[in-house]
Amino acid sequence: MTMLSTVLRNLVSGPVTTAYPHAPAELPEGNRGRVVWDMSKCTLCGLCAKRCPTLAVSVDRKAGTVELQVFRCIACGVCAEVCPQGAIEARPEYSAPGYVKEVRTYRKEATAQEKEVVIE
Amino acid sequence: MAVTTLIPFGPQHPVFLEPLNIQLKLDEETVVGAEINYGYNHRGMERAMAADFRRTIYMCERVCGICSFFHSSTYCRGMEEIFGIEAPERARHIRIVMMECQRLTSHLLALGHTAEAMGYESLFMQCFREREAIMALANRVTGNRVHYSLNTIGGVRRDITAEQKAEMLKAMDALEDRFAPLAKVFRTDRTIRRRTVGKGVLSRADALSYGAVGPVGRASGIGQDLRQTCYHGLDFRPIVRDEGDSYARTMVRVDETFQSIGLIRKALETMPDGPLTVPAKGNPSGESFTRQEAPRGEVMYYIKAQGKVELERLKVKTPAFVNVAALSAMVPGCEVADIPVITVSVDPCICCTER
Repeated sequence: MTMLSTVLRNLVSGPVTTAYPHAPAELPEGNRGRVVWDMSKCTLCGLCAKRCPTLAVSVDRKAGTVELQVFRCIACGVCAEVCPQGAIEARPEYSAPGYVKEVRTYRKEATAQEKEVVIE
Repeated sequence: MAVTTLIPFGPQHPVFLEPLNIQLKLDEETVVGAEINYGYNHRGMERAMAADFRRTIYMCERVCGICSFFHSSTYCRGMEEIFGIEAPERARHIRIVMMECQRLTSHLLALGHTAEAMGYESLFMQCFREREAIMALANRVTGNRVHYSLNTIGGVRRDITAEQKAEMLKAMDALEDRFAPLAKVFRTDRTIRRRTVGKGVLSRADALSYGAVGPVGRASGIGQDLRQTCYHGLDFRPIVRDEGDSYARTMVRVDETFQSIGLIRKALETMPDGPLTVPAKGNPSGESFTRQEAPRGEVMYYIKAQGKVELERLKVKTPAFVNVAALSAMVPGCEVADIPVITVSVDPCICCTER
């Protein structure tokens, strides 16, 4: 009987849950779920790969790529914090489940100067 | 009394969230003895954590999915001791606020789980509903719901802004209002009282000999709480009861929930301005021994650093290990049907225990 007031209140109020994923998730601004690289700023210094606690990031300077193993990433935000160029950003987003272990690759575009060299 | 039946309770049982095996020795319907077997969830984390002391800040949070922030706070405090530095006062207050937030989520989970073990589904849902609000609050403040990744050696990585502070104070008022009727249900409901009062009694002598800590020890009359020493300046007094039964353990958690709300308010109000971190550079050597009051009792970290990135030894002692062992003193004399409620009232966390 002691539960009755709570039960009655719930009976007249609406549901507290949302219809995620059909409705958008309520994510605060400061949440860090998806880590993204801005390759126009990235200098491929490799500090993010060195500091990543789960070894989810690998930087290949020769190929000019940054690889993130999404399922190893724990969204701690260390890479975004240590990046000297501010090229890494942790955005609010829930990581989606997947059928395969997703690997995201970011490729560095050749700069204008490098392109010129290629043309010559 | 003669043992007529042996019943394996677990490792897979609907009432357990994690694998734990209890061999029950029965005489008809009465339990006359119990043997507790661990070892279904060992992950070898202590060895893995000793590989790199900076990565361990984030890895030690993964020891437990409920009291993760306590692990990283204890570890960081231990490393600060080795470095010979001390976290700034503001960082210490932010740690206290987030630790108490996590204690709220942990206690609400334990209370909900106790209600569920009795078949009181609606109360379980209500507890988890309140818990969700605190987890969303932690998400707004720290950026994650469970593993906050807020700590670093020498302080914290994120600040609590003035708006967040106001929001937290508002959330605490709302939680206090909504939890009060639920606390009344736990305190007075006939069903709950009949399932818990006088069941699974752990005497003070047994609690001392098994080394019970946290709410289990405090429900048996041991007034030990590390927050007395760690939370200096917040005027903390532990909640102690003498009955030692499942009801006392549940009520200690209910009262501590209100106490945590008060502590969060006090810590937020007395939070001074200042820096968040002090730098910790290089690879130190030395050893430290740190203790902290987690929701289930004291968690202990022993760290031995050797001037390299790798640690020589990292040893974790978690509260659930001693509390689950105390079950073998609680269950003799009770009925088989009471075993789920008694085991859940101890709040076993096998993930911590076996790491």
